[in-house]
Amino acid sequence: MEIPPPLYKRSLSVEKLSGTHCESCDDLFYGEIEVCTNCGRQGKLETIKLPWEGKVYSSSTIHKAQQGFEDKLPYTTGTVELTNGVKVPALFDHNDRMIIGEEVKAKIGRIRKTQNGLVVYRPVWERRGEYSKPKPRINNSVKSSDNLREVGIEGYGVYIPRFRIKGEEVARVWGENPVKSIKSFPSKWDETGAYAMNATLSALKHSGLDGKDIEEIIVGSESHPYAVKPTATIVAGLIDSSGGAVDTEFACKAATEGMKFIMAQVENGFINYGLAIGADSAQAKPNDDLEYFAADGGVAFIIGKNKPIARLEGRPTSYTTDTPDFWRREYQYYPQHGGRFTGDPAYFKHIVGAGKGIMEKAGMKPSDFNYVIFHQPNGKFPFRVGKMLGFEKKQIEPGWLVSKLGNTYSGSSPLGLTATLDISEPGDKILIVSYGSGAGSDAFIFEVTDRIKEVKDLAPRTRELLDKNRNYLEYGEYAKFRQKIKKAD
Amino acid sequence: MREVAIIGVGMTKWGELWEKSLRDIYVETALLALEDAGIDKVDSMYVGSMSSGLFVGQEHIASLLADYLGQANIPSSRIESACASGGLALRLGYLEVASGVSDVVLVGGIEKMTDVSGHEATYALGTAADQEYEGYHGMTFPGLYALIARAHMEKYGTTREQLAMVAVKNHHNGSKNPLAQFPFQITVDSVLNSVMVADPLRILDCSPITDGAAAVVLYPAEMVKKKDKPMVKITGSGHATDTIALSSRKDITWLEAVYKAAKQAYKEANKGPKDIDIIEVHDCFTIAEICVLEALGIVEKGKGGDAVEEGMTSLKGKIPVNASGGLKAKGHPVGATGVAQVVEIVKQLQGNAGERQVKKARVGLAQNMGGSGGSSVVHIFERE
Repeated sequence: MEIPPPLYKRSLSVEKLSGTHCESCDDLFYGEIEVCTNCGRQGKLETIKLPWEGKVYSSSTIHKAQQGFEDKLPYTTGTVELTNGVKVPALFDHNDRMIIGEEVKAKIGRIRKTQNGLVVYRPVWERRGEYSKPKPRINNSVKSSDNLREVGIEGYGVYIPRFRIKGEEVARVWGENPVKSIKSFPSKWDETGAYAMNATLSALKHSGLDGKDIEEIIVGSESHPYAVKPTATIVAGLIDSSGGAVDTEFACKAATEGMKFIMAQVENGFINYGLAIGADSAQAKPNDDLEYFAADGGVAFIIGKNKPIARLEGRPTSYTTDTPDFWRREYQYYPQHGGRFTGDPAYFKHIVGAGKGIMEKAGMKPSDFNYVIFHQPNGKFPFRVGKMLGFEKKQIEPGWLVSKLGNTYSGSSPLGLTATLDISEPGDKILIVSYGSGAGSDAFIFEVTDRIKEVKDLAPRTRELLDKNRNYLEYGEYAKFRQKIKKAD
Repeated sequence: MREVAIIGVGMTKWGELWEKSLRDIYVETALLALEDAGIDKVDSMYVGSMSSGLFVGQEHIASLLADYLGQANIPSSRIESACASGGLALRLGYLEVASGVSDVVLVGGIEKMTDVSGHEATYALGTAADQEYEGYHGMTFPGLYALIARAHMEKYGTTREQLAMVAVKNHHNGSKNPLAQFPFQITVDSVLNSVMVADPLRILDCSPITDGAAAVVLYPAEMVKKKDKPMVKITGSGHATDTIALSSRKDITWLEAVYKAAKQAYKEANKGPKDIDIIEVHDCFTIAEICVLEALGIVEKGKGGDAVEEGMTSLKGKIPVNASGGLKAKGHPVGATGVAQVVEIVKQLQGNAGERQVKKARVGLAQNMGGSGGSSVVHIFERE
C-alpha cells in the first residue's frame, strides 16, 4: 500500500505551501480548502501562498519509520507555525531534537519516491540560525544601467548542502595515502532536483523577478533525477514558469552550454528572461580517484538584457573534440574515466583552446582581467592551466572553491563565477572557462556593472554557504546519505 | 427513549493469537457474551473494526461474523472510527435499543493485527491520521502523540517520569488481569531505558499490537427479568469529532473531541466528573491518558501528569483509572478496545473484577478515542 499524495497536488512534483484565506472571517488555513471551518459554505475563500519561514511548534525524531521513509531513519518530523500563524506538518533537516519556538526556514528537499518511480519534492525545514538573513529589497530600479540593453546576468543563486567529508577520511577507509581535500555531500533530503530548485529560488530573490517572468529554463547536470523527464520541468512547476524547458548533459560543462543557449535567445529577442542552472550530485565510484572530489551543489543564473549585474562582452567561445576521457553509458551506475589521460589531451588542451580563442577574438590579454575562473576537477589543475594561459594566482583564487567544496561537476566553474561576482566591483572584467569531459570548453567574458552594489546582499553569498554552514561527517554517514548502501529486497 | 442495560459481557485472553483467525476469535468471544446473557438469538449486531482490510485482507465482516455466529439474515453493521470503532459500535447499539427499534443487540469489537509485519501494522494504524498531509510527511502514529507529549511538557512542565508512571500504573493493574496481553509489572527505569520509537516516546510508552475481541449484549432495562446479578445500565452516551490533522488544531495538548463527547455523556447521565468512581480511558500512549483526564474534567488542564504521580488514579486512589491494565498492559486490538473497556466497567460495577476489584464502584466511565483525538466516544454506566 502507498500513501496517496494530497489530492489537489497529485499532478505536481513540488508542494509550494499553499493555503486558504477566508475573506469573511479573515482566518487562514493550510492547504486549499473548499469550506471555511468558521463560516461554513458562506465563507468567501481565496488561495494564498504561505510564507516559508516560521518557528517549531512541536517536533519528534522518528525511530520507527512511516512507509517509504525507511532509508531516512532517524528523521525528524513535526509541526511548524508559520510567521502568519498557520500551522503546517513539517519534515526537518536535522536529526537532533528541535527546540520548541526555534526559528526555521524551508528549502526544497526530495522526500520520497512513489512506487511507480516518481520523485516527490516538498519543503524541508532547517534552522534559521545557520544563515544570515538576506536583506529586504529596497529599491528595484537602477538608473545607471537602465540604458544598457546588453545581455548579461540579472541575478544568481547558489545552494550547497551542509555536509562535508575530508579526503583523509575517504583515504582512511580505503587504505590510501591521505589526500588533502574537502567536499560537500547530500543530506538525506538533498538531491540534484532540489539543488536546482533551491538555487533558483535564491536567484529569483537576487534578481527581484517573479518566476512567471522566466521564459526558458535549462538545467545542466550529469545526475538528473530522471533519465526521461526534464529536471527543468520540475523547476518550471515550482516557480510557475510556463515557457520553454529542457535539460542538457555534457559532463561538467552542461550548465555553461545552457547559459549560452539562454543568452542567444535573449540576445535575439526570443525571450526577455531565461534561467540557466547547473546542479549535480556528482557521481563517483567508491575508492576511485574521483571520490575525493565528486561533490554536491547547484547554481542558477537569470539571464536578461534589462538590468544586468554582469554583462556579456563579445561572444562566448567554445572548443570541442571527441575525447573519451570520461563517460557513462545508460544503466551504468558510476562513470568511467581515462585516468592520467584526463590531463594534457583533455582538460588542458580544451581550456587553453577556448581561453586563447576568446581572448584573441576580444583582443584582450590575461592582465586585462581582474578575475578568471576555470573548471575545478581538483586543486592543482586550475592553477596549472592558469599559468599556461598567463594568469596569476591572485586572479584565480577568489573563484577557486575546490579545496573547500570539491568538484560539483556542472556547478563547478559557475559556482566559481558566483563567488567571484560576490566580491567584484563595477567595471571588473571576469573570464570564465568551463570544461566538460568528452570533451569541450565554453568561455565567456563578463564586465561587472554598477548594479552589483545594489544586489550583493539579497541572497546568500557563495563563500558564506561554503564556510558558515557545514558539518564534517564520517564515511559511514557519507555512504548512507550518498545512497551507496544497497539493501537487499 | 428506553433505559438500556448490559446483560452479558464476553472477553477472551488477548495476545498474539497466531492459531486463531479473525472469525474464530470473534465467535469465541461473542458466544461468551451470549452465554453470560442467557440469549441465543439477537435482533441486530454491530461490530467495531478499524481495518480488517489492511490487517487480514477481509472487508464486509459484519455479514461474515453474523454468519459464523449462526445469526445469518439479521441486520449486522461494521462500524469504523479508527481506534474508537468499538466505542462507537456500542453507542449505535445503545441508540437502537433505546429507540425501541430492537430489543436484543450484540455489540462486538475485533482486530486481528499480528498476521501482518510490524511495519505493515504501523502503516495500517497510520491511516487513522491525515494520510495526505501527515503520513505523506513521514509522520507516524507514535510520532503524532510524541508531538502532543512535547507540547504538553513544554506548556505545563509535565515530566518524562510522569509519562512513564502512567505505563507503570497500568502494568501494575494489568498484572492482576489474567486476560491481559502483558500481565506483568514494569518500572519507571525500564520505561526510560526502553527503545526509542518517536522522541520522547519509547516502546514502553506505547500500547502493543494485539489480536483480540470483546462483546456485550444490550437489552431494554424494563424487560430484564433475571436478577441473578446486579444490573448495569448505560446512562450517558457522547460522541464528537475533531480535525483529523493535528496541525489544524489551535492547541494540540487539548482533546476537544473528548471534552465534547464527555459533556454530552455527563449531561445525559446527569452526572459530573466528581460523581465517577472508576474510569477506563484510551491510553494508546502514556501522554494520551494524561490529556484525556484533563479533557474529561477529572483534573485541571495541565495537571494530568501530577495526578498520576500523586497516585490519584491508581487502583487504591481517589479515581482508579484503567484498572484493567488499560490499552498498555491489556493490549490494544484497535476495534475491540472500546468494547473491552465496557466489559471491564461492567465487571467492576458488578463486583466481578477479581484481584483488581475497585471497592464501592457504582458509577463508571469509559472513554474511547480515534486517531490522535480526531474522534472520541464517552459512556457512563451505573449499577442499580
